Amino acid sequence: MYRHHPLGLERALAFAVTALVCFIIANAYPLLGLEVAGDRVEARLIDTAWAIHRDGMAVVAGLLLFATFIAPLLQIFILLIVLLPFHFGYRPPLVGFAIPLLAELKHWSMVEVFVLGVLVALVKLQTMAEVVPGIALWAFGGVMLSLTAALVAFDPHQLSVRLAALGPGARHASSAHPRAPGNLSQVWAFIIAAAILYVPANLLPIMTTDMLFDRQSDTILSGIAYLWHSGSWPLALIVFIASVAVPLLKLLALVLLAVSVQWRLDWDPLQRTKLYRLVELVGKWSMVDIFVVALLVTLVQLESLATITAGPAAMAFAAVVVLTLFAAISFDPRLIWNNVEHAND
Amino acid sequence: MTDPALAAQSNADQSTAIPAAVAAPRARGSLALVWLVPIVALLIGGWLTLKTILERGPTITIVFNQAEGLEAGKTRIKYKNVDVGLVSRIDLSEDLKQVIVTAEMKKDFAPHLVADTTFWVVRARVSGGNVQALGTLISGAYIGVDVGKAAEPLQRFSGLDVPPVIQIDSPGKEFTLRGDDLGSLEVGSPLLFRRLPVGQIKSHSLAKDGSSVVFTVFVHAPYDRFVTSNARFWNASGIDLSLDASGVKLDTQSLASIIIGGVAFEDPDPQTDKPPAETGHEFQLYNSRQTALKNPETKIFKLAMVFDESVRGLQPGATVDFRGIDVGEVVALHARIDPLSRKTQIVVDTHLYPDRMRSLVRGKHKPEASSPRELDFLVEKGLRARLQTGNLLTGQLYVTLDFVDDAKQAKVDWSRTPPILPTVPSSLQSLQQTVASIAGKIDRLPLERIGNNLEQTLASANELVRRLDHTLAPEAEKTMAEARTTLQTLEKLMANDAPLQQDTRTAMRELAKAAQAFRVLADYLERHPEALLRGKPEDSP
Repeated sequence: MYRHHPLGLERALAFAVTALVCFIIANAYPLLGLEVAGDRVEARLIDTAWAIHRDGMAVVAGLLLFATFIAPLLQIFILLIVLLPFHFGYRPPLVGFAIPLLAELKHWSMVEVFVLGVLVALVKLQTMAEVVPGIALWAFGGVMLSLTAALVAFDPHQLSVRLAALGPGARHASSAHPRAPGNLSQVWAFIIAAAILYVPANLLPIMTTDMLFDRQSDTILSGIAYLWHSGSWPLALIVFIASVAVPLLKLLALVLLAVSVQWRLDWDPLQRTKLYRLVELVGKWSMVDIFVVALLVTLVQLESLATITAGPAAMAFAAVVVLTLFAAISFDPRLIWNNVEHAND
Repeated sequence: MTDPALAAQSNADQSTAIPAAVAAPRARGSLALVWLVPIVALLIGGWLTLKTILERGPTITIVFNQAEGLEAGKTRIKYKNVDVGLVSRIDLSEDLKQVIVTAEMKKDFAPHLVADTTFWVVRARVSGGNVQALGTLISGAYIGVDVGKAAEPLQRFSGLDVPPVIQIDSPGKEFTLRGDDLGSLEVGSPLLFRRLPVGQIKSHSLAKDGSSVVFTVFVHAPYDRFVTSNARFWNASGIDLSLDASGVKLDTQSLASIIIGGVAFEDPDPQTDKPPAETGHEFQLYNSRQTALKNPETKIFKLAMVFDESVRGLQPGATVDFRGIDVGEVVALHARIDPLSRKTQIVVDTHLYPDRMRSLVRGKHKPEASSPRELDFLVEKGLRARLQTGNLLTGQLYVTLDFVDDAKQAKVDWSRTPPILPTVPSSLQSLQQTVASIAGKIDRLPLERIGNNLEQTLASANELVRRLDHTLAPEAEKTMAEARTTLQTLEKLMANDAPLQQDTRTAMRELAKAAQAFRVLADYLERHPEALLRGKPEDSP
């Protein structure tokens, strides 16, 4: 099940250092530049969060900042804190706390989703004005690749074994935590809340464009329809899958899993586990719409020509994504196997 | 669940089993390869940082009065529409009176940030005759910069409120004009040479003592060579409508200058080959072309004249002429009471320009017309001042100097300053006097008595008429009736069928017959005169 590379930990350290360098560049330089009529607007990562905050959605701004800045930075720091001392033959501090946190952060670090969001925004804006990709875009690509490589190479089990070799110490608890009994009701709560918010997320405008003589409010669906009619159907398809289909299917899948566990349905547990893994994997990709809106809101501030502001649906949509993520995390996949074990009993 | 633990365990066993020295060489090569990745990343990062630091230009502050249209992180600084910097911060000064704009300039522009480099905000502006920077309505304002020529570098600049009219590096020359007032001139007003715009007013300010307005004008090359030290500048704003003894005069420059004002210049003597004026040369700004082109009078001879008559229509500035030649002008008028005669008199102060008169007095030793001896001589010869109507329509007066043959003896009163030249009444005044004497004579006629007599005569005539009416009229009526009867009778007599007429006709016929018979008799007698004797022979024919 685990790949055992003898130098996996060194490799993880090397990639973590790379990720840190890329991360610093990514935050110091602009992601995208927009040039209209001699006017140039540039957006750094921090600017996008600030722009969303300016439009009155501090919670969304916080989420954006957490997913693209704090979470990846924490991941990099944990890797460095654990691996650097180890590399020089010392016992790293806080291992018992850092390793589970690193696993938890995997759900929340959305660098790769953000990179997709920047690309979508770039394509979307190209019809409007001249868009210049900034250095930070490439740097974010570097963070995405090196962080993934570092996480793949980082093997906690190998680490714990090597730590044991270093000498006696607090051993990392690899024992499984018990299955919480109240787990399923928590999942239901998250699912219902997400389902309720899914309605305003799709009905309310997600962004408002103020043109010279025109004001246009776009919901997620009308934005997709606009993209479709204007001919960029591949983009329309991507946005549709990421913003409409994925949240909906995720909700349905979660409901299905929860129902199957609740009523102890006799259904292939392996398939259900695979479905759960899929939900866990695609869950965060829905955030791409929020990132695109944040970038557009930051860049399209052209005085009288055109101004984009984020609409209330952005908040609802972000909430749906977060709630389904929580639902997926709080759902314990071992419950699927409970029935099987019970049936076997 | 147990699989990984077992694997880890076996792995651990392995690592303890195999000596570290054996594994090291393979690991070292692989290790170096892996560490290439962060090294490359670090190199790129280091290069980017270095580039940013190297490219970072100086940070400057510009102080403006207000920050309309400026935005931190967005407003650019442009030289000839090329980006040279970006506004990074906008703060208020501590006393809240000014706006301090902090800007990051590009590195290669740093040498141009010198003491006389100027900054101003370019925003859409409609003023005078021109519309500027309409594009900024869409793109937003930017800060314009004009590079100075000074040597010492500067970090803190004060921004201009209005864009400078002339860029520092434009070829041409700058001159100073000193005028009485601003008129309708403003910064950017055109400078006209032969109605061709050749420059602009750069700035204007009040002289330190407040006595005049000082303009800085810029004349573009190659027209600057037409500005000689002898050039005259005048305010060509609007329409110059003047009314003087010579009539109504309308003087304008181009249509644009009528509306927005302007300054024109001209060399009154363009033939002479004078060198162009130096930069910064100061000129007088005249109010009109006429005054500007007048020869500047170097010598002024002040002379007063006392008139007994009204000087309505005579204004300061009116000409003093000698047989049609302009030799001076009236500068002031005031009334005074002569202490001796207790008569009210009007004193007219004039400036005579002897240089113009010199040509009048030609002699061997070319005497000065203004010398007392010469003037006394002229006055003795009959030189007098007189008011003359220049324009009958408007009643404008001027002073004329002329020799009057029958003038009373008079002398120049040298005791006063300015000396007083004797005067004679104007021709209009003499005309008035003549008319008055005629009127006096008319006045002396016994008009009342004549009137009374005439009335009496008329009354008797009236009486006579009335008497005639009473006596003569009935008689006349009767006569008329009789006359009418007579005429009627006559008419009856004369009628065709009247008996008289018939009788007359018959009588006439008889008479004709008688005449015929007589003629026959005569003829017969002529042929037969013997018949008279023998009588008519019986049946002889």
